[in-house]
Amino acid sequence: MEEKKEQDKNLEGFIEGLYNIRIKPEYVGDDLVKQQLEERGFKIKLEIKSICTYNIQIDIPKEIGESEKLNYVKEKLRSLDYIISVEKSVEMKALDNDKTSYDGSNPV
Amino acid sequence: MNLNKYRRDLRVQRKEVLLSRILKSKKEREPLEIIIETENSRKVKERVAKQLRKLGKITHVFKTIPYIGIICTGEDAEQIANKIYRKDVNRIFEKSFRYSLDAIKSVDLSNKFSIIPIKTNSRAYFSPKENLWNLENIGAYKAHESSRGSGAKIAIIDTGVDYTHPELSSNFTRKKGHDFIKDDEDPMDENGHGTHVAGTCAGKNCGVAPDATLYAVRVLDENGSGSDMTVAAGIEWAMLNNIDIAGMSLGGPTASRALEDMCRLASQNNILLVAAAGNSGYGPNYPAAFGDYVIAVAAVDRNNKHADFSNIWETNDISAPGVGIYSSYPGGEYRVLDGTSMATPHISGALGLMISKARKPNLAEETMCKTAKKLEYNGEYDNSWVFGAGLVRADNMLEKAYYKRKIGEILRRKYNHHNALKKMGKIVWKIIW
Repeated sequence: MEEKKEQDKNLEGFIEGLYNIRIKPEYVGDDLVKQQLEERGFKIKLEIKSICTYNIQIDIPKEIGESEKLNYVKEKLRSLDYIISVEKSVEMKALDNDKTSYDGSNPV
Repeated sequence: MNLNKYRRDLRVQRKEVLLSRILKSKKEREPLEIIIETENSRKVKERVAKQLRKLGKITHVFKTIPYIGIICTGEDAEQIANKIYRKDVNRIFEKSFRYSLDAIKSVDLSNKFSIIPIKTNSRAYFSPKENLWNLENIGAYKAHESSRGSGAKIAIIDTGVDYTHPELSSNFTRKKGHDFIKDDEDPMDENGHGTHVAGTCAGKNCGVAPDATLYAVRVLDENGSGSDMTVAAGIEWAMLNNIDIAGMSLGGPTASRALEDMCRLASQNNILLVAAAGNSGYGPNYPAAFGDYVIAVAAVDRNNKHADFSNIWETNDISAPGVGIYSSYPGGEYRVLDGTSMATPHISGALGLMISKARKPNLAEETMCKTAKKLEYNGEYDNSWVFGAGLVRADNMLEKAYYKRKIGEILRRKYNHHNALKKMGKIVWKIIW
């Protein structure tokens, strides 16, 4: 049970269906990469050339459990030998507090 | 506030006002001044202006934007409005004019302007300095005697910025930045957060570095949400565009290797990355918590006490005001907001003041931490985990930089003088020998 809680905690902050893949530098910008990813059902959202990373999106079947999704994606990309690593994409949010405050002084 | 809906409603409202004024003008047989928007081409604008001169008196043809002001009869204004809104033209214009009409994109009423008296409790005005205690607390006004941030290039990596806001319009050049949500060159703010942050960083009245050049990099959508990769793309844009400082009032609870790689690379390329420590009270918030590559900013209140929402964590570097911060908001408004988001642009601005004087990013960061005001804390955590080096003091930063520069100049003069004496001595020795 604690292991499951730890897994759930690790899953917080991730964006559903969005992954970052790092590829070998010589393949960055190659149309072949885009073609092969699309053939496997991925959509390229962003390409960050300077760190050889693509942000890709995929619809994962509902029967795949939360903790198995990353493995599912890795399995789909296994045959592409230029892929160095795969990780889940993290959500970023604006950091203003929900409550807007006034310090009590008359603004005029 | 849904900005898109607000803008749509405003357009509908303005169209109704225009049509009713046209009717009034026709009835009372009075001329009407309207503003016509043409396609964005100088030749097209000149062609349309030439045709419009046959209709009425041209008041202004703008050089840099595709607008023409004209005073014409109500009937003519009605024909033009019909073409735009109803796609029909009842009156038979000559052929060349009908061709020009196709190049007209919109028509609007020209408004009369007058001074607006200050209203109590209204958000749509600029308040006197008393509301900007945050600038006083960090010594920004005193710092402005030495530097206002001119020449510093600061990227606001956020929800976009309303670059038309009177508080900010003078900070932007033709290149406004980039929108990574829509993937275009127009980073207009559809949320409000980025505009507020930009105002604190470099606003004309609210900003720490009012003469800095700003670039808006939109990586968060209208809900204030994005991904680690949109943020990384924003940092990459800043790096490729030779930005000095990138402020990120955003974050997530989980680290991303790709984002860390990007932060490391940008830092190695001499960009100062500044990020908010987080609003959860405790724990890491990324990218602030990446440590060496990013300056993490905690928030304090008006009395320099720790803001209870501000994350306590080992990677905090510096503190700035983050409670009750008055700054710009889209639509020409001003708002008061809280958050480590609000603290972060104080640091971006303060660094901008330094960079403006000496283009040495490492020196700017080091000086900022060394001249920070130490703050008191009686809780269970280490003081540095709460406040970092302390409260940023822009005045102290510039004073230290000034003295360092002066000492450097004196030493260089002395060294050059010494070298000159050595050379002279050698020549005399050769002559004698």
